[in-house]
Amino acid sequence: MLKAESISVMRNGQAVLDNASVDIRPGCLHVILGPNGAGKTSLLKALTGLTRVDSGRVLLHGEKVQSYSISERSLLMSVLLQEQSLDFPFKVRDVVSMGAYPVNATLLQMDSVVQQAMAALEIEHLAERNYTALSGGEKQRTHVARLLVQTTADTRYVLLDEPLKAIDLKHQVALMQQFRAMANQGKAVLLVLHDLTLAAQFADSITLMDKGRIIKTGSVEQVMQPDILSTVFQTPINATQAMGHTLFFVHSI
Amino acid sequence: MSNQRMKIGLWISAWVLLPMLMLVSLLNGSAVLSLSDIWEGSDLSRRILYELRLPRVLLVMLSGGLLAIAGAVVQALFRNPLADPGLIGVSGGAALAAVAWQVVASAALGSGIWVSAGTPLAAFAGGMLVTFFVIRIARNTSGISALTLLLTGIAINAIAGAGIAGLKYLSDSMTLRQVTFWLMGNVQGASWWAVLMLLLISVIFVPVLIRHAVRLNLLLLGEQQALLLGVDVEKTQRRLVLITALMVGAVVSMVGLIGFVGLVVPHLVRLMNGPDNRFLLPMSFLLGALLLLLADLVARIIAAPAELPIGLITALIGGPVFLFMIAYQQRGRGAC
Repeated sequence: MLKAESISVMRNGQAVLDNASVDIRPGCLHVILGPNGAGKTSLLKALTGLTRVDSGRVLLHGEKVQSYSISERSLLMSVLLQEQSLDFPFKVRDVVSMGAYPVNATLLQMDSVVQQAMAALEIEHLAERNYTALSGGEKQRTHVARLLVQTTADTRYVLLDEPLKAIDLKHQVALMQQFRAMANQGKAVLLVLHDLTLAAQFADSITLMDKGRIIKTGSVEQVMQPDILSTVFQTPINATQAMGHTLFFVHSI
Repeated sequence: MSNQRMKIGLWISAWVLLPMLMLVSLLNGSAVLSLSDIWEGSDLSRRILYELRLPRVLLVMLSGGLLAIAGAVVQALFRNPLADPGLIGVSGGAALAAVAWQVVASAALGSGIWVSAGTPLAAFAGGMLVTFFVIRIARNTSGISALTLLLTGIAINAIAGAGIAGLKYLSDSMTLRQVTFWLMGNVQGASWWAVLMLLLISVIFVPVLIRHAVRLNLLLLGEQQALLLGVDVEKTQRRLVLITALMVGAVVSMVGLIGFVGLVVPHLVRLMNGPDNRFLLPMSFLLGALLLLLADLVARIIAAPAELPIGLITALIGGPVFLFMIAYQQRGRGAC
């Protein structure tokens, strides 16, 4: 289990994370929701061991996450950050193959894994294209494919910060199904999302954040109540049921 | 697959061109020799060959190779194709330290083995100091800023230039003359000892750099993302900064300031085969050797029997290429 115990992170004298606790359990699809600047990215980065916490601790299988070596961590967790800054014209296939770095596999095995990952994101036709010439959504799909290559049977945790950013509807749904399948295989999946309806449709557990604090954490039904959401997002949000799903909408417009 | 054929084609043409150019370079110059002079020439022509031209050809090739591969590595470390040991001030720092050592040491110790042996060490220390300093200044939370990087380079080059000018003013006329020629890129006094030194550095450290190629590719994704993929970012950066500073420092101390090789050569290789460091690093070394050899040949025959400094030729070619690169980058940005 990946666990944050009352962690706080300060930046320039301000708490970007304030006494946050969260359990990331295997077999579960966790979603973090919250307005901009709520501390979602800070929480995700603290969980990966990327940022040091000023108080509290992050535990990976009961031990401090930083006590694991960099390569051990890269085998246990695959992480996609929100900001991707690649300015060099690599071929799409080469970018996807970068996910293979921590994985111990033969070239031939990796070739088929890379091919599968590109097929899953439907970017095979872009394989020989230059990454820098792609659209925003195609770039994002390339990076998600890279994350799939890094994610092997040994990977226990899969964490993505706004993975659906710039991606079209069809591929958003396909990706969410992919994450759902990973959770069903026993991995712990953590996503930072902005789409309330997709979150409600796919998540097992929701963590709602605001101003560096965790407002509420629990099942979709417990957390995603229109009055709580309206307060946190400072927007009149309402919900309705249709075909067995809960849809969220803004009712002032 | 066409990519693969391109790579093989480039390798073969480089390996064919290099010995041909070496031969042309050995035979041409203020005294033109013929092929037969190599094995049955007069005493004079043999001395020209083995004491003047061969060490010079080797020194030029090794310098070009080392400058080019160091440039390619620095560009990956800074995640910017415009980074170059010369532009960001590393060569300037190395030169200042080397000149300072020469002036101070020759005043204090006269002209002994200590003065010449200490010069590469001083250049290495100066280059390394500047590299760490530049990284410290240019790094912010989102990585290393290209603008800050180049501005820091301008500032450091100005400081180094002022320092060197001051030292020249203080030095006696003999040292002054040496320093002036050396700063413009001087390969005339090529000695076997200099060749041996650069050869040693190449044999030991070029393979180390090439072994880091995949890690450098991952670093281009950003430092944090590289870390999450299992790259020990700090260790990699520290090690590569040390090696490139050593390479640039050694080359600067042996042949002076030769600009633009570290910038233009990796750029050409990227144009031909993309940014993959697994190919970029070895090919830059090879092409750097080839192009500097060509520049040296031009420097020797264009105004024969007089010789131009090699740094002049590389600046004459490299300057316009650099301008073209900047213009090209701007155009790419303007096109949304």
